[in-house]
Amino acid sequence: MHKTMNRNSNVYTVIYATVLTVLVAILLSAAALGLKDKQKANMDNEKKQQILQSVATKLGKAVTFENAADLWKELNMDDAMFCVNTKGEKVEGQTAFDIASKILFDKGKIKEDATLPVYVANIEGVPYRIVSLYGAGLWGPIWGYLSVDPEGKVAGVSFDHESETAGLGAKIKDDPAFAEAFIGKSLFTDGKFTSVSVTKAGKPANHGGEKVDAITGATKTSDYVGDMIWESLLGYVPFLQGATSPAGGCKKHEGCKKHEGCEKPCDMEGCQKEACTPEACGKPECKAQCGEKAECADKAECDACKKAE
Amino acid sequence: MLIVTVMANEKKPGVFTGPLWTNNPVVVQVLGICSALAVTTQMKPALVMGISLTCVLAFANVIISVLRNTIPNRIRIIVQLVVVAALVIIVNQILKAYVYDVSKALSVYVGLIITNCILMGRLEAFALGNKPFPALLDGLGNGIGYALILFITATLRELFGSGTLFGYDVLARFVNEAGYDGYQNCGFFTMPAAALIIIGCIIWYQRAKNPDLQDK
Repeated sequence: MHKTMNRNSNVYTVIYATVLTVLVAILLSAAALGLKDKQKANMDNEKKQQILQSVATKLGKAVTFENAADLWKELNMDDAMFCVNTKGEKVEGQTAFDIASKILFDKGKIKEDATLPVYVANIEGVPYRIVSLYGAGLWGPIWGYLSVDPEGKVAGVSFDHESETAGLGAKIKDDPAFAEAFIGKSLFTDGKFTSVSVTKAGKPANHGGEKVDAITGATKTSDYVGDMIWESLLGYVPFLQGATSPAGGCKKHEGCKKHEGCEKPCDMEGCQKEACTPEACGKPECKAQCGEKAECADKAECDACKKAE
Repeated sequence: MLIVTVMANEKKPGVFTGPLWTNNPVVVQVLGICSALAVTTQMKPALVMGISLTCVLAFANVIISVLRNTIPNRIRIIVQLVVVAALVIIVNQILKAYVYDVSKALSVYVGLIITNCILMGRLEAFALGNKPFPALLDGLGNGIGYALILFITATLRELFGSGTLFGYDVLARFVNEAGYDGYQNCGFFTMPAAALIIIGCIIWYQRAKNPDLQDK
């Protein structure tokens, strides 16, 4: 062809460019479409690995790309995940695993109406709630999973990143010591969410509460990890507190008539008033409550109740 | 500008062996410096990058060499870029489906490979004017030459910057055995400037040994 046609003519150039572009486009689309299912399977498996990695120390074994799918089945994780909203209420109709953490954020802040995924790993009878983290790193996005034990302490974390510097920022994923430092740190101080900060050795935590030392030479990436945990967990706080802090827990007031079954974290005052109105005084259920509970929410009514008795 | 330098430096001292040392793409042609600074904090990424670039360069060289008589002169750079970009993306897609962990390790470098000036430099200076087989040798030679410099730089940077080699603790253990208390990492070696100085020293050594390369 090159002998019969002038290679420098406009027509030849345009035709050549068009043919090349179409050809490359076809090749790329074919590759993307043909390999999509396999790639999706790999990515799902990696996600499972990262989720389970956050409870690896509780499992007592390393979670690898190869054994992730088996462990996932073993722990019955497909049935142990659900969604919550930022008020801590369960949300039906969405599969937690399919939620991409990226879409839950708007300019680095968690969206008010976000639906957040929660995974629960039951290991030796203890439910560890695994929540999803996402944020900006130094060069690209960073993300991870954090598991919380029933007392509100961190049971483990796993981090990953797109393009942090190898040997420095990439240590958030590669250095097991960094992830191990989070284990056992409490997310709450006196019932208030204080997160776990990541700051330079010797410096105090950002929000009060507990901290982890930053990676030497990767202060920026470390800072971003701390920010990511703070921002991501803000959305989960009502959910986490609903089941961790004694004040919000339904288990503590079993006499509660209003919220029997206790699906939501119940409002203690409302709960007490229901059974302890002046009209109800003298009734058996009122006596049982007011007489036995020293820390009755509404003192005035409790006293009135006792006098009536 | 760079491409002109490359062409001027073309001495053909052996298509494969030349680029390994006397016509090394990094220290003689001064190409690919950007990635030589970026991926040499540790040995593993340096090795991965070296191998990937060698493969991509060899393939791209052959493809462009096959197409060389059809490519319109005015859009040749774009054509080269399209071929390289398509090649890298397709290979990465295949790796993602079949060898996922390798693709994970490479994903950071994909951008660096496509924009590496060694690729464009070799396609322009060699593949466009030579037959496929010499082009393959030239690609392999330049790729390995590049990998070699990367490897030397990364070894020094990881050893002194983190006290490790391939992630294994070396220097700290050595220092401890000698009776001193631990090794304090030299943070400077983890910075890109250290790579520039190391590569500068290699260039210095090479020029001193080989007067032919000195500017007259």
